[in-house]
Amino acid sequence: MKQRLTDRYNITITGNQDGQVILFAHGFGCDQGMWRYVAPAFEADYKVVLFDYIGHGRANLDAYNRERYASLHGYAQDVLDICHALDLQHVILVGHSVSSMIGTLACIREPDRFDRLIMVGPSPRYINDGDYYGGFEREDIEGLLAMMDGNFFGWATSLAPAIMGNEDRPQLGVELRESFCRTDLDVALQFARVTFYSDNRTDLPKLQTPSLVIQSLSDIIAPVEVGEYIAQKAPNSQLRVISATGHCPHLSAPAETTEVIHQYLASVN
Amino acid sequence: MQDITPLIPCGVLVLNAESHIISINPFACTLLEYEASELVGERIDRLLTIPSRIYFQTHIYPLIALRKVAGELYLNVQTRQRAPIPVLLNAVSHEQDGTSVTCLSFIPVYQRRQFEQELINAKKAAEEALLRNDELVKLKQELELHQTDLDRQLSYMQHRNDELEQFSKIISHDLQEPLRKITLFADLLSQEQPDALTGMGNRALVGICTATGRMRQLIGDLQFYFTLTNQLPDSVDTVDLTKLVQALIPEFGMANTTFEVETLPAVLGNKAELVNLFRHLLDNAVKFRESGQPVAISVTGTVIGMNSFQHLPNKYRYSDYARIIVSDNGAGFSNQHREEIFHIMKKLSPHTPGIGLGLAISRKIVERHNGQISAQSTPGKGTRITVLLPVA
Repeated sequence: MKQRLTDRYNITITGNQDGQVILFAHGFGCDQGMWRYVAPAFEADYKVVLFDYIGHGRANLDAYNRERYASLHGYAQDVLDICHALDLQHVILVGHSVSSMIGTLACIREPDRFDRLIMVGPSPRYINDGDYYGGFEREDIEGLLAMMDGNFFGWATSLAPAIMGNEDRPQLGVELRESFCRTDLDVALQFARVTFYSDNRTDLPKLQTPSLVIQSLSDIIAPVEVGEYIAQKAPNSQLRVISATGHCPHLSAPAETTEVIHQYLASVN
Repeated sequence: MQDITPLIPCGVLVLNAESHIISINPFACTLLEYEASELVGERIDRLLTIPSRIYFQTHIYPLIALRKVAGELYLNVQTRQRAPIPVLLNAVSHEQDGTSVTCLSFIPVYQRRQFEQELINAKKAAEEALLRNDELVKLKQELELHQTDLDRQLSYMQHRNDELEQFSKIISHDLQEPLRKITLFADLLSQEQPDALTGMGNRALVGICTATGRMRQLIGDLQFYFTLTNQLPDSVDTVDLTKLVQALIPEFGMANTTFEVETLPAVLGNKAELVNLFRHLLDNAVKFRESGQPVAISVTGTVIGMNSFQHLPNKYRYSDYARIIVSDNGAGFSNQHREEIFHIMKKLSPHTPGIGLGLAISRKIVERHNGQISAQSTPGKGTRITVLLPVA
């Protein structure tokens, strides 16, 4: 069972095996490679668990089930299944982007299993709705889906093992073999639909797990207003605005992101 | 040698680590209808359509950050007038003076894009047809499999049903009849002259009356349990659980017993049965108290998303359920019994009142409502019963 799940989600475990568990969940568009500049900073004190969602990275694509992943609950079930299979308790769950809401659903389902939820660039609702500002209109999302479709040709080549011009940079060869951000197109399209059309605003007040919202100062996917909204609606939630730009502070400002997580964990423990 | 930069027939942009534009070539400026000086220092997002901004943040930026190179990416840039231009984009990132610099080059692909779109549409149509076909074949196989199962189950159920009907007759007639007679004879005895029986005789008579009363209750419960099918009750309505539970509490008003009831979600169900369910659960919480200690019972509720398929593997349909938790600080039990306490006539302790039908009936009622019930307990600490019911 454990081995089957380890293969299915390409689970990697590093760090201090006796330490508290810190589980990193990647967002839409990439895989566990996203955490490579942040996760190592926790290896000394924590048991670090990373995984890929089905259809991402090196997770087993055969396990993809269109019905299961027609809802973020299916992804929350992934997180819970991993926790059950590895018997993870007192988990600190760190979710990027849509994995913040996936994490929220998992924490609501099994509040006793999670000690903390750390959300990086979260949004409970991407599409504007009356007074609520999510940042996007429905047609923007339609445009994104069309563009992802259009990148079928681009993806085919960007995934090829040999890419021009890496002779002078041998370190690139290794990274290419590791194939960061490899995503199955059909999976990505369904994930995009589920992510950008979902509305998790009513779930926030149900979140009992103490949480931290890490908000980039300028993030067009999850603007500051949205981060403030979450911290306000979720009980026991703190907001930390960091000066990083863009939607991936764990890539663009890993030191600052790591520092904020360390500070939060130190302050509450 | 001549500086060829102004002559290059494709757009070139250089970005700093924060994705701000450091420089831009004349071709890009002309295409996008800007002066270079207007764009230097601006974020790349300004030159992208909104869908392209999302795509850049979720796909292209991570690719560049992790791989340092990305090729043949399709997206739309936009002009000053916000007119979209489809482009094909390459990116290379390198370290310069200790910071990361990314160079993007792009060419407009109007015609190629049109052609590609046609290919994509054709491919999609073919894939959808294939997928539909695959799904139909799979569904057909599943259906055939289920039909055989169903048939087997139907004949089994038919058999069980006949047995239950027989059993029900035994209970309602064959067992009730001698009981009625015992009651009748006891009544006759109690109508005798007061001194017709000895003190002992009178006490025995009271004992007989109490025992027959309990037996009648037991037979009634058994009959109720066995006539409850697993079908959803006929009359189903929106039930306000907060009101329902609060109305039940006075029944359990005892010294040293406190109740705390949150606002509970409304559920879809049969009110009479749900009253029965919560009466059993509250009754248990009060009954299995830790002797000599005050009892604190709390009822909390929240709405969660759950897969409504409980038995078929690989079938998913997530819908909302009310999760109601009834917890007490009573005697508790070892978690190894958490399944069997829902079995009929299962009593963990011979010293407690009742006959062990309460939780079996509770489970039946919950299952009739397409819900789930489970228990968690710690000896000496208390018990937590979790009930999932479809929300209204």
